Amino acid sequence: MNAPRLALRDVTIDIGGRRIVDLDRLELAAGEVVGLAGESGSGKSMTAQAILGLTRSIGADVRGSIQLDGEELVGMSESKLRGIRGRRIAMIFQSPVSSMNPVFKIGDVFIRALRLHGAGSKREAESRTKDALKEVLLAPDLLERYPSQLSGGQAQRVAIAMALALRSEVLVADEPTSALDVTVQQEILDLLRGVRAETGMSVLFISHDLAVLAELCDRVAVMQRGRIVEMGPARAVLTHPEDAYTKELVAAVPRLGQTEATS
Amino acid sequence: MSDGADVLTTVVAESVFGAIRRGLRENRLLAIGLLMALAIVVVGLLAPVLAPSAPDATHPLQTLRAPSSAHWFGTDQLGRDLYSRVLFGTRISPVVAFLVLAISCGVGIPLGIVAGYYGGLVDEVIMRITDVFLAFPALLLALALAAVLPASLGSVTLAVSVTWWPWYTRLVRGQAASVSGRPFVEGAKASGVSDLRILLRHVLPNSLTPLVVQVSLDVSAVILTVSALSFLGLGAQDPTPEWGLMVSQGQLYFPGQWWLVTFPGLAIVMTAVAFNLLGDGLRDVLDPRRVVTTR
Repeated sequence: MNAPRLALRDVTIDIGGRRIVDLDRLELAAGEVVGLAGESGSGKSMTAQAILGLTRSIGADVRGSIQLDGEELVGMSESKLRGIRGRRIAMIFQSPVSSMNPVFKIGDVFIRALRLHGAGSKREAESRTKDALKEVLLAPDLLERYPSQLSGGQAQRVAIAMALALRSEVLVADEPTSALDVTVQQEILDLLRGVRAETGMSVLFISHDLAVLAELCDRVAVMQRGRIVEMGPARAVLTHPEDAYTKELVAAVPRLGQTEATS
Repeated sequence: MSDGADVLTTVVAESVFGAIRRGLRENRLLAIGLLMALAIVVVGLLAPVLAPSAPDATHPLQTLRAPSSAHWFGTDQLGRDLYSRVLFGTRISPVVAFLVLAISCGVGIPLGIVAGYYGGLVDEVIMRITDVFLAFPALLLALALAAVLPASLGSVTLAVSVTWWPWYTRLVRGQAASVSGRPFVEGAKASGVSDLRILLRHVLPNSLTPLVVQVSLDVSAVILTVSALSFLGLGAQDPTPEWGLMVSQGQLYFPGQWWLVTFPGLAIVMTAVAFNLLGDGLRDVLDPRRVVTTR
């Protein structure tokens, strides 16, 4: 097996003396989709923020090692980190519409993001933008719209298209489908699957929705109180959980034909 | 960051001016306010053409004449044509108001945005400084400053500005703090955007709407304050045709010669009303809830 594209080792995150996250090991291979499950406050999002080096601004203390293709991100200077955020590690969020500045047109956001990360000429940025939109099955006239004129599903596609246009290696998706309705959710999952297959992008997919994780992910890690309590192939973890907490989580998913949760 | 300035203007143009154009069609008071404000600007520009005589030309034989066809607003104690003086006054109070507001925005907006975005110690320091300025009643502080500085319009501009900017810092800081917590700012950070760029392109344009309204409402307040200071003898000096000064000098003659106070007073009131209507209309048009429903 090749060296992992993204590797977290012994990562701890403290805020005000309290340990929020204590991960011993989490790795993403190239083209792999890893799910991160767990209840609210279990440290999923904090882990995502730490990967992008965004935890500093909230006064969190991150220790350990987070490596992207062997390059250490913990302790990297802010200006070098900015070159990695968005460019090599992209992130998409729970509420796609409010994750975009309401005063800019989609097209402006794209062109600026591309040029910020060195896409060269304006023309090149434009053509890459159009290609990326085509890949997520959106019409190019969307570029003339403001974020508030997009539906949730469209906006999330735009966010994914941005990662594609920048040719990011890793996509950190923090609950990207939780705010979308079920049919749109399905479209986004299909899209992510397609993107992974075509570009070999690695995806860290954070969700509390086990059904979604089971459908999309190669491997799943379950977090509780900042620790990974169980990790393994998605199917194995979600159908035959070993850890007591995972069992509870899986049992809490309502199933058809079941009147009461039995645990 | 060389593109910061032009980016900003286009941003405001797209988001704010579109709403204003819509509002002008639907909101008559806004249209009236805008027309009056435009009229004031035009009168100010064309004062030398419109005025029958120079504002400081004295005529010792024609003092204190009542309004007539020769002197529409009458003449003052030195025989100066009051109509000409009121017209030329359009070049003073509104210009001073503009300068005061420009200085206040220039100081207040950057401080407010920085305080709101960074929070913590930076916020604390900036806001405590503004608190010190806000602790004094504005007119009193302006009075004290204007009294220390040599009596001139420049001093008044400076004195009023000093009392004005903290309000804008406060207003912008509150907005910036709430904007900074919105997901798109986090999104911008996660896309590798620098702090300065986030401040200028994401926080600033989204914090400006209430300020636009406040500034247009404040035009009248500043004109009244400047006039008040001139009235008290701390601002413009004779023969400057400043409206407040004219009212102040005219009050001696008020029992017999009502026009000396009335016409400059009306000019002050009209200007105040114009910008108040404008500000009120802008507030209705730029109301965020409305913008969402019409888009």
